[in-house]
Amino acid sequence: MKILLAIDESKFSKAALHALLTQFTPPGATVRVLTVIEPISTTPPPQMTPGFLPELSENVRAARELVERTAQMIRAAGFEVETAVDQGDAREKILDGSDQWGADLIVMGSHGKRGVQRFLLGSVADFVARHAQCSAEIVRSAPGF
Amino acid sequence: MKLLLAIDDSRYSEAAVDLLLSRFRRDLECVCVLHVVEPFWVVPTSHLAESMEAAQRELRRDGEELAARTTQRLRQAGFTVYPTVEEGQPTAQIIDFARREKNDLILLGSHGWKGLERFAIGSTSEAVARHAPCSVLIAHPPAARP
Repeated sequence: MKILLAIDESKFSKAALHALLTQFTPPGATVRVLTVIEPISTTPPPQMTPGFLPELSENVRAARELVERTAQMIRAAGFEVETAVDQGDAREKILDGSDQWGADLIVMGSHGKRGVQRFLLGSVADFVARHAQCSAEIVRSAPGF
Repeated sequence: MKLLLAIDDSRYSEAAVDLLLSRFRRDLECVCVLHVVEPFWVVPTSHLAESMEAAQRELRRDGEELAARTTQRLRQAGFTVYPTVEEGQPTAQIIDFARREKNDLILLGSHGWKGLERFAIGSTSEAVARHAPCSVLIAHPPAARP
């Protein structure tokens, strides 16, 4: 069984990791830890060619650290783990990524790091829940998060 | 962790049960199995009232059998299970139940028995995902993937 854990640096993602570790049994499960870097502007300026944007490469480094750190905790619990960092629209990349990889289940937090908590569900989680072709778990909270 | 498994008599609910059996730890605090019987939304005239009541009783009995069957399967697999049958509007009943019982996770199929598959998820799953007080896992049958 393939489980895609989509995370960012928010407490909701920590809750999603906690849910994954406490709910599921590791044998036969492969977890892919994915984080998506979203560009601030949707229309890149012409000078934004690969290798140009130093602040984006800083984001990539932080994102890799995040997925590696998370992967280590999941591996320690006995799961097979791989990691992925993608760039673009989070909704699109999570859904495309799950289709291409052949995920059976997507696990993610109810809100992202920009999460406006007065809404019950963030826009990315809402979109993924409604459009995923595979099972999807939206994690709302857990004790201590 | 207290899990709420909301089921009806559909292959989507079957996918939710399969996911529970294949992937979840047996040492969850408990699994509450909930089936909601939807009332007929018809104004009963006197000559219809009796047959409608009979039909409603039959639906409830079917629901109780479904919940009992599922409970037995899960208990055999090692889960601690409590079955419940409620009557009313499914989304409201599921959310009220989860709030009352302080469930940590609601597990349900992507569609109900009426399932219109041209939508990725059904209206009940969508409303539960949006309004639940806790985490929600929407289970899709494996074959649903292109």
